[in-house]
Amino acid sequence: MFPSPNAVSRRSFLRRGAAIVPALVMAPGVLQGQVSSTVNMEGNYYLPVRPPAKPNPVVQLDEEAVIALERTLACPCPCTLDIYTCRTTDVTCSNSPAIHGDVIRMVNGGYNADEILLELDKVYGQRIMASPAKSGFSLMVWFMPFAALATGALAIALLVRTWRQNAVNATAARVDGGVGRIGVQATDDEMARLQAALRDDTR
Amino acid sequence: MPDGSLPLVLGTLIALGALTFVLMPLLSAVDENEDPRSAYSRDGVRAAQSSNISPDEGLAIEALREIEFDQATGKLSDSDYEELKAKYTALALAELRERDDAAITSVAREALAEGEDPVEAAVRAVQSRRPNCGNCGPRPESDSVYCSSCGSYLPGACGSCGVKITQPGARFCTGCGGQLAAA
Amino acid sequence: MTLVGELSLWVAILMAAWTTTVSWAGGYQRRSDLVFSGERAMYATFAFTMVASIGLWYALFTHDFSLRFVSSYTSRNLPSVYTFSAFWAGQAGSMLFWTLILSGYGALAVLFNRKRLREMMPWVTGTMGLITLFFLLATAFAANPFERLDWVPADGRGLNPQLQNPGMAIHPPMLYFGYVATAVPFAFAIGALITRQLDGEWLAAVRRWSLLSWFFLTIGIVLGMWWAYVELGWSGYWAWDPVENSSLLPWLTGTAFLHSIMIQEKRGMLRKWNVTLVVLTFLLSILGTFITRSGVIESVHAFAQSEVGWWFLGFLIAATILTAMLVSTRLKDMEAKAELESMVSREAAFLYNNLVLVGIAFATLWGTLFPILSEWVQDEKITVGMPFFNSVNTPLGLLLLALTGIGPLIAWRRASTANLKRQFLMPVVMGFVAVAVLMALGMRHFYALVFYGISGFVATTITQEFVKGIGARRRMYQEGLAMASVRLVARNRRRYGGYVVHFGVVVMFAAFAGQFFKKDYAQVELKEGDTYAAVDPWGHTWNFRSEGLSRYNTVNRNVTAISLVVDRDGEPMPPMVAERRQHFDASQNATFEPSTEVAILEMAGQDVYVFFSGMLDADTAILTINFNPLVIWVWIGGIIMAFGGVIVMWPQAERRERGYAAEMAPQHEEVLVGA
Repeated sequence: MFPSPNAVSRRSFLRRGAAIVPALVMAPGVLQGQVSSTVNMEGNYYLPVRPPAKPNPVVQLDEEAVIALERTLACPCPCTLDIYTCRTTDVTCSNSPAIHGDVIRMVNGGYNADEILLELDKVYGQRIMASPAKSGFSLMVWFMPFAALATGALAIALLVRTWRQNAVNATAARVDGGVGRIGVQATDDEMARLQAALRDDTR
Repeated sequence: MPDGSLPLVLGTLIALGALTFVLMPLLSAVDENEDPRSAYSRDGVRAAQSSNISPDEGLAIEALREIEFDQATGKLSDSDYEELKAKYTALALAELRERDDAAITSVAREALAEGEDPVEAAVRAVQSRRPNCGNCGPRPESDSVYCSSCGSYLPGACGSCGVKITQPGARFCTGCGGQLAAA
Repeated sequence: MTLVGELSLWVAILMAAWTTTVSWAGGYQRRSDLVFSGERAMYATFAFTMVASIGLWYALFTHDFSLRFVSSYTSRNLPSVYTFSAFWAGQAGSMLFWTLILSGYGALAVLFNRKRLREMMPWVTGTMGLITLFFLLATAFAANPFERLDWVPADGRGLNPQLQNPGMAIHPPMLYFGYVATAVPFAFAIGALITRQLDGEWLAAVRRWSLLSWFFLTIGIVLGMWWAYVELGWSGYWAWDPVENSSLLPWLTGTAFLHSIMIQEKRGMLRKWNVTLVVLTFLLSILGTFITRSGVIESVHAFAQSEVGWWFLGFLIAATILTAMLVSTRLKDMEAKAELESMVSREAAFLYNNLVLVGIAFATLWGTLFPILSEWVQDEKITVGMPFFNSVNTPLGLLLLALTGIGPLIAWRRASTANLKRQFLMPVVMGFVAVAVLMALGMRHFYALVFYGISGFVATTITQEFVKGIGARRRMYQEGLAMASVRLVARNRRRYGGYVVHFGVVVMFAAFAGQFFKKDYAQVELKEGDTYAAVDPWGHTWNFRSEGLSRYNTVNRNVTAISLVVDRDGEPMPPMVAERRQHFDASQNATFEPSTEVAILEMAGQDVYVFFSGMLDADTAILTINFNPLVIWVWIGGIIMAFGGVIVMWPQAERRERGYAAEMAPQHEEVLVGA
């Protein structure tokens, strides 16, 4: 085999590969273990939330407040909708009407919005909230996109500055070398050809 | 014929046909220099030439065109326009000359390959770009139709086949019948 | 025929393997015979995949229920158009369909470049062959549509009713055409990296294929929105569902590429970034496939969990690593002398456009994958739902929209303050006028005002670009108004076609802002003769009177329909009919859960959206009635975008294709002729 200018240098290629093989071997295993716990094969995601009613319960939430509350709750089925939207539309979902029932029971039991969220959180965990909390680890999900964007903006600003500097330097070099005066050196013939090429916009 | 064997026979025939189709290039020799689709002719010369990332050709002229347009639509100030125009005209000229040089070089290289004097060939190539008067020799103006010294018609050559055009006002080449560009 | 199809699948595998082997060997050893053989093998791979596909279609139409795939997704009473589209309704069939498109693209790429890019093509062909080989293997071993059952059912299970919709018949193919087309620029990028040719004709080839991919993705995504809107019944068209997100990701990076490639074409800069975007777009489309098919992330759109997903994950990891390694050996070749005349210039605007597009892609990917990360790191599953994506991506989207208006106003290379003022004056004024008018009309929603202000700004920018462009042409080329208008676009299709796309985006954003005025659904119970009155966001009063229920059987379903007589402020409107459907099989047994068919009255200002939620008792229907402002403009915006895409892709006159080399040549000819 003769060396070809286009062929990948096998040695450098393999050297780089060697470092990554362990990662390759490990990755599927890690993910496999992780995923098996994620996917619920049953399809029923409802968990009962039935705290005892308060003594002498006073209903603190009207219908609109319940709707507003349910809009902040995620339906635990894979529909990605909130409880209110899901229960009013997706007829096949058995989860959202059941959770709605629990919420109404708690409202009638005298619970206010925060207490209801707390009770739901005890059973379902954070995933019942449609949007992640803006605290703790979940803060990352909110923070990262903007952090990345800011970093990117900064990188671009620096890049543009470098390019600008390159141009300044190059112009200086051109003027020193006399290239900037090329217009004087061009023959009429050359200018004519240039003009013709410029006029022709069919390209 | 037993039931269900038709698809098998059909399948086998298709597969054999495809195999022939695919293996054909391996069985019949490919002439690297003759086949225009081969990338590897002339001992890899063509390949070697293109193996580097070459600066894009025509970038400067494209840029100039855009500068003109941006100025016409009012996006460039006059001073910016002048400055950019000067810079990119210079670059476009450099590009243009590079192309000319490359063309001459390739003429010389071909001449060398055919055992001729490369310098002679290059000179001829340069001169052929200028109109040549039968009485007074090469003329300096590339676009003149009549000789400025003696007034006689300047013969040209057909751009496609190279046949001399001596008839003033000819619209088609006598050699290949192609339309003459300036006619 | 089915058997021939099945065998063809295996022959196609051999052909794809041969394509890769001899193409790469030919490229490496510089042997044309091997290269030609590889190219022919690519054609043959496509041909055999086609035969395999025809075999599957044959099995579908002849109701060969001995195939698991056929019995799982069709039934004897399925309308034939859906029997045809059942091909891509299930995992196995859609894998074959995907492969079919992929090998077809491979064959087309070989065909179009049989006289071009000769040195690079073996590597391109080989890469296409390898990707095709992977898909064929995954199809054959992990999701084989020709897999047989031990017994032959009398009838199939039928197609999911939600997929029995015209949108579903064309939405997946369009999306696949787009997704799969990202493989071609990727293959070209690999070829270019190996042969170190990242300019010239390569640029043209990659741009063309990326544009094709962008075009189909756009159509596919909009059709998907339309399908979700008319079929799922929650009166929205985008839920930031993981599967929706994964179709958006390659669209975003692909769009970024189509912008940044202009800088490489004009200035020879950004090579590394452009290659990265091409590779990223392909990898994201594979990631999307993984998300859709593995069941790793839950979604209503996802295929059932399947081992195919792990094939994709493996492929994704391997492709990422190998490409990264290849790129790292080529970094030096991609160095360019980067110069920029001014910090305020079109080039800089493009960089920020790229930043925002990639930023949105990152935010979307991040939000989609974060639940996995969260569970992994803190062992707590969380939901990242619509509120997150809306609140993060809305400002970014507005930023992008604003850049759409800002970019064209800045000249390439340089801008001076005076000229900027002149260029921005009209658009900015019009933006504020839009806001002032809307406020005078009583609009107070902050975000909506920002949306419409920016929309007005961008729309004016685009108009101004056309007007000034035509004016400039008339002066520079002494053309009449009509001629100048036509030539402005015809001679510069990419720029002005791009503006048309931008205009479609503006229309779409204006439609998105309509969602701010959407009211909460009203759930109403109607008996025959009952009337429900509601006030829409525009202040009109609507009356919906129930004409009662009708029950009847048709093709493959039992339908319960409610007819509503509708009037707006007393003015009669077309009647509306919403349906609930119970599908059944050939022996009249119910199949699937009941499904619904929404009644939609589409108007310029709003959609009236009536959803048949259920029955209270035998003659009382529960309806969800909803006014959905400006939705029709989402589809119109999509159509405008696709139209702009067509303008951009429309082949140029022959001259442009020949390039610069040809352009200078006529000058010589003129000199030569001298006449």
